[in-house]
Amino acid sequence: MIPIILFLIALCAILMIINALMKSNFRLLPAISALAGLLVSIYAAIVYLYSGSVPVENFAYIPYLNIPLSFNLSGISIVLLIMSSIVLLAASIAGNPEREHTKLSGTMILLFQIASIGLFSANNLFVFFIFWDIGVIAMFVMINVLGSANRRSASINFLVYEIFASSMLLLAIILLYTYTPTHTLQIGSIASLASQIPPRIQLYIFILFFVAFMTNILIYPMHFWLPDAHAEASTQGSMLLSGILTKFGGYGMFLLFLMMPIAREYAYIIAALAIFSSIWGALILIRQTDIKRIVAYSTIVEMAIILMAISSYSNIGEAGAIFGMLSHGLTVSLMFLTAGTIKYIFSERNTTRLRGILLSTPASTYAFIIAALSMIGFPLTTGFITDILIFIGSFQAFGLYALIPLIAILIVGIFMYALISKSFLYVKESSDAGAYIGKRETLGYYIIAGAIILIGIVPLIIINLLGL
Amino acid sequence: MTLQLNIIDLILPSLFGIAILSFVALYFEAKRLSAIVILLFSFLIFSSSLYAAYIGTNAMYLGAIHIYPFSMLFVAIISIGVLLVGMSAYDYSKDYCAFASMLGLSLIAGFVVATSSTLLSILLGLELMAILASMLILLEGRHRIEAAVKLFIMGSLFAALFTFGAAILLQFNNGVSLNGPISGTGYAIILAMLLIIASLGFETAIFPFNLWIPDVYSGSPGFITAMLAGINKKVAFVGLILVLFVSFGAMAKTYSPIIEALAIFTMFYGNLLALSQKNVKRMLAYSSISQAGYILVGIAAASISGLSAAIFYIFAHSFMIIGAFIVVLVLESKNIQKVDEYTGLFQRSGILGISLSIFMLSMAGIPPLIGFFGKFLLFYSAVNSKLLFLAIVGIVNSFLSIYYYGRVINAIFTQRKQRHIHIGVMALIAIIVPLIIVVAFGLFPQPIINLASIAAKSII
Repeated sequence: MIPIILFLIALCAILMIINALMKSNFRLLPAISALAGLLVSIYAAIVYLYSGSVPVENFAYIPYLNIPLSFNLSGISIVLLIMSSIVLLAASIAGNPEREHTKLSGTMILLFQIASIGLFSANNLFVFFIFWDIGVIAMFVMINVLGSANRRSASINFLVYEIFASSMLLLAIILLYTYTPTHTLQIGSIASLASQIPPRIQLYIFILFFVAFMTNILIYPMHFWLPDAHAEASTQGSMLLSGILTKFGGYGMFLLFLMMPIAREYAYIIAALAIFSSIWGALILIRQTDIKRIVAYSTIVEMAIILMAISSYSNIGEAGAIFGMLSHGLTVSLMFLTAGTIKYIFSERNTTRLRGILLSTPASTYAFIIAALSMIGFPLTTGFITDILIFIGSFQAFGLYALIPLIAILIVGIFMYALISKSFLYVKESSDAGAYIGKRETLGYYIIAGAIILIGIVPLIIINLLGL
Repeated sequence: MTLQLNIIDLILPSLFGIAILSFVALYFEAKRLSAIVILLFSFLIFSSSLYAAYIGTNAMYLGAIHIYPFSMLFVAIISIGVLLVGMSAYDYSKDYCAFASMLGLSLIAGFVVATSSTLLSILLGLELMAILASMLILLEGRHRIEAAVKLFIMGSLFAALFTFGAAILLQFNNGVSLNGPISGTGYAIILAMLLIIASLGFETAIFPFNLWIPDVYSGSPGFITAMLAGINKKVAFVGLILVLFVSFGAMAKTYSPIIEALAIFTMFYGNLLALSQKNVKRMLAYSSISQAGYILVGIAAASISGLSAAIFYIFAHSFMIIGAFIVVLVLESKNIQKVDEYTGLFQRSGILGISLSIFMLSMAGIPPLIGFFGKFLLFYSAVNSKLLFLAIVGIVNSFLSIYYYGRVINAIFTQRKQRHIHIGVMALIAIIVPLIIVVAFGLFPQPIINLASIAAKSII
């Protein structure tokens, strides 16, 4: 069988080089590769569902260190790949209504796609780390070049936090590599070998991994880069940042619980941190007036809830966490897409001055409403399935404490209701629309909103992939 | 046997050729001839020595020139460095013929150090190199007299220290010959070791001995800085590795803590001072000090994996720093020096902007570039030798460095409409070759890791 992941990465790399070297730019290249990614991940899903596994791809990479270039598609990876392909597809089709720097942004989207494909399917921590940093650099350039006024300081802030995280990750990987008896970084075999590492070193490794992933999954003390980075990034940048980059951290946390048994001993502390972080994010959220910052803080709430589900370490909770990452990736990127388009149309991000959006752009209004409903867990959307799975799983593990984040969801829901009714649906006065959106932006809405509703109504395929 | 003779038969005449022909060219002031001589012969030496390192030749020639993978790998690194610096200077040097002949002589000095079989030839080669460097700075530098005098006096002082150390070692078995570990104990040996580390620490830019670096680096034109950081420093590292791993090979427990402490101070010194620099060249000078600290991490590990990591990183760093300084050279010829003036570089010249960003990201240790693999190997070898604290300090430092590299990259990608920058063809090639090496061996580091471990095994 063809090594599909390597094929996909090579395709993205070739398209990226073509895109970078061509004099005139061909805007469809990122969309083509995202579509290819979607088709390949659907194909992998079918293979996985019929035969129970997808062949592992192994290539010699650094024999000196016993590190192969190894890719393995589990059900979880396939779910995350499907999510990231949909987000990338929508971002590359619709995310740039200004049509600015299409060449550079296309190149960076392709680079980011390489990172996300490699990271979600990596079977080796070294490979995981390499793709992690590729993603960070692609994101840094996207914020730095394509964002709005304060992007320079925001992007440096982002870079410093992310490199701090990846330094911690590197140290953890080196420790893990040195102290595992067979000097291996294969994710599958670490799980069985981790108990042979001295307990003190296990603790160090766990803390380092946790701090690194905490930066990307946006838990309380490590999230300060996020609001600025989101607010200043371009629409595409925010979509990828919130939709996919935060999932790097979520997937990393998932792997951490899978690999290091010691993590389960600290599950209560992690869950408490996550619960605190969700409430804290919600409380900050209600003071925001910038529409992109609002969506950014809602990311903190959602990702904290996902972390709580991961730390429950029950079947339902873990499946809920992965389903939540799928749901949140789609939801938040739809929200950022609408927020970016609204910013383009009205040249305004302040919700106290945005009025009567429905009159100028009904499509954006409906898309935002669908996203908001999915975010608060309305039935027929992916958010509903997510919340059911997450809270059942967490309730089994932590009892009534697990229901505290519902308060945060409630706060977010009330706030979103007020926002939608005041800014979107209130039509007695309306802001001046400076521009109109084209068919491509509407197509982007259809893609993500369609995916949210489709998966919300028929979640069975995803649920099967997650092995519930 | 015939094959080995063939290789040395190719290298030695090339060295003579460089020396004689470049002086002929200097006499007739034939710029093009100088360029052809230096490029042709250094390429010849590069390819033949790389081949020799690859097949693992091991022979003693003329009783003094030791040909083995370690020396051949370093001759290859030095000669490609000479090739790149020689190319870059073509359009920017005031007196190219003189520069080329000095460059050729420093290739010879590097060859003498790398293939040395006694401490004395290390001293000879390094001293030749230091004198050539101060002459070059006198020829071309801007604040040249101060920098050249500083370099010359400090160089003589540290050469005297080396001589004193070697004189102490003379009484012991294997004392000044690099045949094997020195047999003997006592404080005299430790004193000699300290003296030699200090004297080599001068050229390798180890912390308390590196105070001359920022002035000299920023006071001389970019190609000389590239030569000092990319060639001279690496040659001094060859000397340090030879002395520590061969002569003091039995005393790893003694020198490892010393090198560890020096590494920690060197990394922090370079990085913390680089944080506050506004001039890019000065910033790169400080950052190259901290990079020397990373190389020391591998030496402090005192194991085969540590040594091969150090060799790998020396290889990587010589390309990154030469490339970066050549970009700086092109820009300073347009009077662009400060970080603020780098604003909009990506629009002014795409290749300069991208290549400088990639060199800097590689120095900061971002995968999948060559610097990252170097750092991974270095810190892994440190953890493997139970030097966890050193590895943590190294990682903290590589995190610190992203801050000042990030500032420059940030400026490069900021948009500002300005005129396009024109680059000479030779300089362009001299930027693209390191760029390809940094990216290609970053994606597939295995061949270099292999070479480095062959070289490391050949010395221990």
